[in-house]
Amino acid sequence: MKKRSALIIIFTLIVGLSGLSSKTFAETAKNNYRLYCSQCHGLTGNGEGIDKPTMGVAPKIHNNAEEMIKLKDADIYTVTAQGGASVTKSALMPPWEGVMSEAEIKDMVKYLRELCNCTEK
Amino acid sequence: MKMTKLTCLILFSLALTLPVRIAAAGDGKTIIEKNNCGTCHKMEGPAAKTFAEALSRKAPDLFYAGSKFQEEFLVEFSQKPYQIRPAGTLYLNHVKTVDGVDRIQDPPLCASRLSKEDAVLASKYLMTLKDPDMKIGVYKPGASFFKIGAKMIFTKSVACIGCHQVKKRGKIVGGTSGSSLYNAGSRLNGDWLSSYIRNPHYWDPMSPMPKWDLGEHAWMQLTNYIMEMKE
Repeated sequence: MKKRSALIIIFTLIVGLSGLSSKTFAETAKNNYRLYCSQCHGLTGNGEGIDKPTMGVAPKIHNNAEEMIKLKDADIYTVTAQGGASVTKSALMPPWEGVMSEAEIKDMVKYLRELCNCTEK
Repeated sequence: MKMTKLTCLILFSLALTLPVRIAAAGDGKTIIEKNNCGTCHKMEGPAAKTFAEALSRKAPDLFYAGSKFQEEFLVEFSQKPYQIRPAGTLYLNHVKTVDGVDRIQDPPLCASRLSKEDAVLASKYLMTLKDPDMKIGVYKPGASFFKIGAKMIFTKSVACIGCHQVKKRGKIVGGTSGSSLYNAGSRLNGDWLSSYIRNPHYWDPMSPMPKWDLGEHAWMQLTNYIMEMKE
């Protein structure tokens, strides 16, 4: 009985403390997109973000189904997590794995699929 | 006996200046409160931790101003502010899609117009707002570094220029979502910059800045390179 109570206390503590992390991960993928991606890829995902004009390489157009259909979900995950340089693309696309959690990046892949209204081939 | 007199004299002089210093910082706090700086700036931590909190932020947090800024900059800026972030504190609040292209919509300018005297006192107070955990002495002003390598990091491998404006042959170039850096060396504390570029989310959990995994040498090069940008 005592063992059971101790386990309940430990479980409660773990759940409670996880809520005290530096960032509340209740943010939706759309909010993350607006915060981390829209400055280059545009608020609507059309690649016309405010930072685009000075970029040597045009940002990916996320609402373009013809282009996005060519990408595998796993590739989108890798580029989002590890940045463009990890797949020999532009380093202007930074790595987000230290900023967004694995779950958030997975949600981001789903959100990009919503933007293009497409799935991988 | 002579030493005792000298010690007394030193202590007396210190005693005279100490209340003045405390009064200066105290007066500065009053000036900041009277001018409602806290309406836009967070004067106490913690920093925003949710998307909604980040959106509601009107101006940069000042509760660690003493770690982040140089005092001379604060004195000048609080008298005559200018736009450091071309798209405002958070670009999301000042960007609209017009004809399919995102455009910056006149972000508001800091309303501070302090007199020189008030600016000096307010800045003195702001410089007391420090993060006790920030490492001091990491940035070595004037230390030699490989400028071409640092420039490569800034423009290519980390591509800071994608979001931050700098000056290139007198012309402003670079992205507009981040803070401009062409006068970073006369605005920021090098130790703070060094800490921020390594881990922006320590200072601001909702910073839109990515986190890179660079070696110590590269971080120092980047810090030195940015701190050399002065006006």
